[in-house]
Amino acid sequence: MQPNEPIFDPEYVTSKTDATSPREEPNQSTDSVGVQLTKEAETYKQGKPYRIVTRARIVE
Amino acid sequence: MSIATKVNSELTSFVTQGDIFEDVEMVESVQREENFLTVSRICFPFVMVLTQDCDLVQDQKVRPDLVKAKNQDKLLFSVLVSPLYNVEHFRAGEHLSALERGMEKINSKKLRSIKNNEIPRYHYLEFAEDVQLPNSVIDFKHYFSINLDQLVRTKTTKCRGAVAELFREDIAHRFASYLSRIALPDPSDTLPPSPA
Repeated sequence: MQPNEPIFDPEYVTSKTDATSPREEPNQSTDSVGVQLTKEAETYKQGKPYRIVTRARIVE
Repeated sequence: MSIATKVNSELTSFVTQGDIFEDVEMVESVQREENFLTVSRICFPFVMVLTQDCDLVQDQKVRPDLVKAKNQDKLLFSVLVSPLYNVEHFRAGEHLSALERGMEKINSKKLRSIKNNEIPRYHYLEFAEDVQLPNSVIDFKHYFSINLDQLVRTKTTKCRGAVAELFREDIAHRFASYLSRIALPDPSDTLPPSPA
């Protein structure tokens, strides 16, 4: 990693399935990278594509 | 009458054309606003690899040991994949409901044509009962690229099977035909004005 390369602060990583309603608190299961999924992500169980939005603070 | 798509369950260690992967993510957008980065991804339950098999083989011959390779001329940047939609969701026009996209409901007559692969835009895959995949439809308007390394890394854990040679070639040929169709202008089609 380069000295000035931005890194993510994991405390600020959130996840949503609806990009039009940002800032909602996640409230469901955790995926393999530790990002929480909202209820809509449960549609995966129905075999439909779904959206995950991750927002992270960049630490310079 | 539709013909069952043959799927090989004995997989090679290489990524090949026709491989069906589960839980594949497409990066929809990446936006940076001040000190925050927002990444939007769409997770597709199943996708099929469409990239030419010879290109995949040539890439993966040199990829494991790039230092020894004479050059990197055959390396690919990405692999083309197309999502598989559950035919029942597709028929109801609800296969993209979680993405808030309403799709056309398919009536029985049109579904019959789709199942016979008579409509260039779609390809129907009917799987045998011993294949753990739902009967699916590929919409040739929907495709995206994915990093090959990612597929190579997950080949053993996420690859659910590979469409057999003749069947995958049929799909690839129909996909190529669809993309290469001549788009003739329709005078009645007008685009909305560009956003300011």
